[in-house]
Amino acid sequence: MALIVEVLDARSDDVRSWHRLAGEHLALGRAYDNDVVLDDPYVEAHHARIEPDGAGTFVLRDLGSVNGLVGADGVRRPEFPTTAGTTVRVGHTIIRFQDSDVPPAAAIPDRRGQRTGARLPAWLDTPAAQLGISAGALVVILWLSWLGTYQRSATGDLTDLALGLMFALILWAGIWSVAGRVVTHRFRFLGHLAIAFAALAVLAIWGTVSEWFAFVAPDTALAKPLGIAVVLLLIGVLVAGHLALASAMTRRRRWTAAWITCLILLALGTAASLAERKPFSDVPQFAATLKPLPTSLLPTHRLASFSAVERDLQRQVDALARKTP
Amino acid sequence: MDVRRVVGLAASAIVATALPLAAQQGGVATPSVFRRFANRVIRIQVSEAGSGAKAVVGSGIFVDDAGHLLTNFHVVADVVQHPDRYHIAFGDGHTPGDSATILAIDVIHDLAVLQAPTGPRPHFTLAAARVHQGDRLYSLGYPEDLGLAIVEGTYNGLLKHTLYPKLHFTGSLNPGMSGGPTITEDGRVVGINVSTAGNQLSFLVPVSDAIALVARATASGYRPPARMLDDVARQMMTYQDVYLGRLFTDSTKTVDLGPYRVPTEPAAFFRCWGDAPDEGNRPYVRTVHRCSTDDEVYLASDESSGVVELTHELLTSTSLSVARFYALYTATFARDNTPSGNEDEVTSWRCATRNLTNGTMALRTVLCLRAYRKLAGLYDGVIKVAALGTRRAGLVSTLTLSGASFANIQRLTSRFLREFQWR
Repeated sequence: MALIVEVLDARSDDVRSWHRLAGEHLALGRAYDNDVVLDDPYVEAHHARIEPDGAGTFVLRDLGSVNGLVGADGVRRPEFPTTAGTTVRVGHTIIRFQDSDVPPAAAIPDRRGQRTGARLPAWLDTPAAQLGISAGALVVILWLSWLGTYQRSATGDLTDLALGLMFALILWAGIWSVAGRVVTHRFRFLGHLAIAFAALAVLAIWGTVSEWFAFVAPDTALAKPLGIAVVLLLIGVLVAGHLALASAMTRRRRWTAAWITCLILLALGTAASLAERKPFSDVPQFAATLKPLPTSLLPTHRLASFSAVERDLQRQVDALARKTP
Repeated sequence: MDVRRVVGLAASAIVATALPLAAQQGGVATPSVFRRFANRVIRIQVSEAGSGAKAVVGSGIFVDDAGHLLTNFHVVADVVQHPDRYHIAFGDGHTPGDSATILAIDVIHDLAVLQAPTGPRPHFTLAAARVHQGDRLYSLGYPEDLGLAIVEGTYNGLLKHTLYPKLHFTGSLNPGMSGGPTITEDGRVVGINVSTAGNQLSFLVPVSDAIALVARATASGYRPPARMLDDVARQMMTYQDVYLGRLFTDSTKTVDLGPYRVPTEPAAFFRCWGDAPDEGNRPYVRTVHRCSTDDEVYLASDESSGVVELTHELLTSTSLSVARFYALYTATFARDNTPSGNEDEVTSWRCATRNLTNGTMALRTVLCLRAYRKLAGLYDGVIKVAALGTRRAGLVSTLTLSGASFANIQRLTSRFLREFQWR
């Protein structure tokens, strides 16, 4: 065990230099004949000295300097004990005593120079695979959209949709790749494009799934929160995916960022829906989706059960009528 | 049929269209009719209380010397809706004149009796009038507030497609003539001008309804209700019970549309027609079957009630895939064909959707309901039905009931849904 004197950076508290007490004395001052040379105009040429106190330990003693020695509590004293962790201001310089036995913190893993935070499987990290994902997702989106049309020719509408989507997503992927170029020095446009297209395709598929859900079980209270949860989950995955390509963040930090984004969106959405006063409308909203499901597979209710539904509607509109417009 | 009330709005621009020839060809008697009866036709003005600006101009007649002035309900509807905001003045068309208050209303037949100061005045004495189709009649009033005018026309019988009869008058009634009389050459009142469908197709309230209202308003012991809107609600409630009670009785007719057998002609006074409009180069066929009546109750300037309409739309396709056919089916089912509404009068819609079975068919059923704010106990209900289980044929049916009690909406919904069958 040996006594260490650390000279700290006044702003950051980082250690600028350290000195081991080799013998019995250690001189501190601005002059070059000191053991610890302090480049500080407020420090005397020979300012202070560490020496034995006669009881087996060492003290830091002021050698009659103008500015003296000031403790962490701001009080000037002629001498300070050299117990580990004690900080003393010498002029404008902070020194701290340390024990050479103190175990240092583990080394921080060095990510500088690494190419990405996340490693993609090799086959996925090829332009062909990424282009393939984008093209496949576009086909899925266009196909689902086409199923939603009933004109004789929907080519024009679908072309518009394809061009619009490509324009928007190329812009989106471009922004992420430029950001990635700045942070990780790699421009991964096709990867970002594939992520965006894949997310949109999943959203389109979810749209179809939720339509079936609304058809089989209309007016289910669960439908809306489920829909919001799915969309938020998708946004989270999208953000985490883009961050994996565009940053050097650890997996944990990426997902944290993604969920924070979701929470912010959820909070904004909730606030907006709370703030919005439901306006009057003479256009009714109802679950109109129809699907070609054989009626033997469709759960149906008997006519008699509808009267309870009707009475519930009556209660709702009566409550509305009592409010002044 | 698009029927417009012949009420004059000061704000509305006067459309300068050429008057139909018949209106200009006065018969020999017309100048004499005008000379004899012009002074008995009163101009009625409803003004906004604050600014004094005229909101509505209509016509009316005195029916006795006791200050009873007969006009249309719709001329004074603003006063009924907002008694504090509007007031009524009447005169001969040259001066603003004295003010009047509402004594009694008949919202179903669109009539009102106003109370003006008593005193001897030129007036018509109402009595049952017998006329025959083709008889020449003269209608008087203040069209577009341009001054008193006389319109010659012919009587063409009673309208068939209404629960309560209206007279069919072939002559040009114009906004502002509402509440004015249509008389015979010798000055007997046949009807009260009420509405027009354009092209000389005009409608009159039979004088018998006016006689009944005047009798009620002048009966000893009659007191006008403290709040006229309560009377509107009471009359609507009674009316819809009578009216809707006649719909879908045991002898309900059905019509075959594609694979479906569906209810039609809810009552004898409904008119139904069907069509498969050519929608150009479409990969599907839309066949429409629609039933309606000419009944409609005017409540306010943007609110009519008492309308019942039944629509069936059959969709078939051989070229669309099943998935794409169902996109069409969904879009058709989702299309809004509910009556419009005003926030002051009705609430927003609330709808519920269920997949129901009536024993033979699975039916996607939507009921949309809204309540009247000022007329307690009355609702608008729209029942929309889509038949399920077919692959390239679909049926979207809508039954619209406006100004109905909840009990009637429930009863008719259930009755309506039971009628759907496979052919």
